[in-house]
Amino acid sequence: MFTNLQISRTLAKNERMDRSIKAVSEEALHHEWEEIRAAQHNPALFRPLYNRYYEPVFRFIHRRTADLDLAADLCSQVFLKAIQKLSTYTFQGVPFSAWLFRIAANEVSQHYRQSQNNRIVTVNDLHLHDMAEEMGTDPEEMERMRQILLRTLDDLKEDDLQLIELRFFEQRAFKEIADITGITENNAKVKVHRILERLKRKLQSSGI
Amino acid sequence: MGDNYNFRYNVPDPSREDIEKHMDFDALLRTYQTQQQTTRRQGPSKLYYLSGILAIAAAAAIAGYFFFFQTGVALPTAKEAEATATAYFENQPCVNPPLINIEPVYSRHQIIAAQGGSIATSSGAHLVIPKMAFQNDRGSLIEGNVEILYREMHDAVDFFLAGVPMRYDSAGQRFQLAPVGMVEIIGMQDGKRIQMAPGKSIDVELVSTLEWEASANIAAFKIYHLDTAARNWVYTSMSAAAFEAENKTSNASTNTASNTVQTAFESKNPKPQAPVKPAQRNPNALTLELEEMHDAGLETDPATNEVLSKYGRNAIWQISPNSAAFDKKRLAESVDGFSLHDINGQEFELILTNTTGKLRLIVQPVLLGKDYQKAQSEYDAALAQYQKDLSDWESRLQTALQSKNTATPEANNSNTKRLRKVINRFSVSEFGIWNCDHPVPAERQSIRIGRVVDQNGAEYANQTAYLVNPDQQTLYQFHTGRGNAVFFNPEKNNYIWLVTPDQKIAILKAKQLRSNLELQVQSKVIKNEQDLREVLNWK
Repeated sequence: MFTNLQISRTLAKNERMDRSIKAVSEEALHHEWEEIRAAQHNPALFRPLYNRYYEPVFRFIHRRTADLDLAADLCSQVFLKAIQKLSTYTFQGVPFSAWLFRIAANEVSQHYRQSQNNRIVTVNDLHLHDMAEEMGTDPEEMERMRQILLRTLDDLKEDDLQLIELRFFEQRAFKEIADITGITENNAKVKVHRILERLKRKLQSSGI
Repeated sequence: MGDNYNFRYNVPDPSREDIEKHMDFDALLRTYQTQQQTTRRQGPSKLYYLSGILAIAAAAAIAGYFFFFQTGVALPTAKEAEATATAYFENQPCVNPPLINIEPVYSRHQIIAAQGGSIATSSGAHLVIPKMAFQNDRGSLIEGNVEILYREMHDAVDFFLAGVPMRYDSAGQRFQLAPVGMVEIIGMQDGKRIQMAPGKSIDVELVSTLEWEASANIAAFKIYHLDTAARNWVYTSMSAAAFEAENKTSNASTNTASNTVQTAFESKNPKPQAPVKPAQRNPNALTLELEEMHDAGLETDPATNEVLSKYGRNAIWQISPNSAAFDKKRLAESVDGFSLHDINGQEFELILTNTTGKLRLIVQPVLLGKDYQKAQSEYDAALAQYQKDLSDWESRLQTALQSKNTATPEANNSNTKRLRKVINRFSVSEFGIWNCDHPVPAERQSIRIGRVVDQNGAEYANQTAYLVNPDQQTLYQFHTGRGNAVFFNPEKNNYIWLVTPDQKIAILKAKQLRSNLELQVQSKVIKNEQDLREVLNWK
């Protein structure tokens, strides 16, 4: 049962990564850059970009708010800021979506700063299972581990938690994580690895 | 659940339908456009407009009163007219040639980007282009053939034909640009515009003729670049300007004297140093973890340690596009030691040493994300301070040089002006329009426009008109809308013109302007620059 689950999830993860790679192919990037340049001259031509990225940006925000109306409100702000700042956007070899996700991450942070509430992090057992697997701990210990893992996650800095979120809770490829966070792919891998090592040490000290 | 985060379990993902319910691009566009309009309306209320508005406010009531009785139509308030004019200009292209197909022509020059080279134009200008100075709009360096388009503009007619905006706002004050010479440089490859690569610049030597005091042997002009996105001129530096030798003996001695004054001044007043612009990580470039190599105990020298310590752990060392080609497999070899030395404040020479030999690379420190944003903010503040300090320093230098000039007996005897050739030397780091200038404060006296009409009674109520002070080659563009303020100098011959819908020129020459401006449409059809100069009776 566990093996089947693991295989199906691995396939799903690979499929997502394939999609991610397709989405940022050289040709697609170039075509998208043409669309952006057109929209820089005429904001009405921003529509295809809006239609393409509204849903992913909405989901990105919803995972961090767990509230449909709030996600819609913040999503509107993200696209308004994007269209306002579009004239300053320059092509740096990074997908346009990464730029939007960065704006979205900033909007979410700003919302929580203003509301002074703790930021919402949505998790499920599959996410935690993934992390356990990556840390080399026994997923059969999941029941016991869940609370302790969440406590250790709660101690992470915002930037580190974001990496864990992007990698395990949203299952994004390292390349995409790098584009969103503005670091190199290798750096993203190293950072995630180090965070997992830290988490693992904490779990071990808790007897897991 | 946590102290820092609120963990939520198994939150259902919204369906696509749930999300699509919130999509409304038209509403987004309306919000954006409304905000843009609000911003435009707010624009003219900036401080530097206030003095002008206040100055004409008193006259406004009187002018409006008379205008109402003359036309039966109430004159818009000064604020409304100003807002209309601002909105009008913001809806025009920043560079907007007014006559169809008549513009200063470009000369075209071929260059191989990988090699660089120099260009000598028929006007006497020289351009020196370094190798690998261009990139495409995706940031990749260009190596092949590149076409350089070059043109010069020297007087009000040139600026008019090129459609170049000539107002300059600085530190809350309005200035009119009075150019000594203006150039536009464009790079093209395969019919597409290209850009200057970061850190590269073209050295320009521009020859202009201007009326200048016979005694002056040196002049420095301010160099501005037209930022077409921000619609303003950006001060970049002072040109190194010198008059072409007319009397070599006397000029040589005066130049030597000026150089001595300048050297003495600089020794007492060090020239401000420009801050170094932080660079952002290019995701396509290779990086090296020099800090980790250092921590691993690889052999270095004190200068290298100093550089690493200066840039800290947040800097990433990225291989510069200016680094020579190398076999990337060599980066996988083990390294025994390395050295890092400053080349130009932005790039460093890195030499990696191992048993097989040395690998020389050019690297640059780059930053990521928040580190970059923080460094960029600090740089912006430092740059603003530097520009202010530099401007002050240059003003003090000019004062020192001028006091030297006026102190010489020759200078006292020869303050009359005459036509002289000046060579301006400056560097351009971006393609576009560059201007050697000595801006003059905008005129203070103004009238409010009642109507702009021609001798046949046709009204020109919503277009650009031009007011020229021929003494200074200033070209002041204004909107012909009713109630708009026109600033002029009543001591001078004010030369106003506009382009009629059938591409003719309507002209008015007057010292004292009245509220209703009546221009004379010239019958000659303008087919080229020469026609225009004849119609305007311009030298």
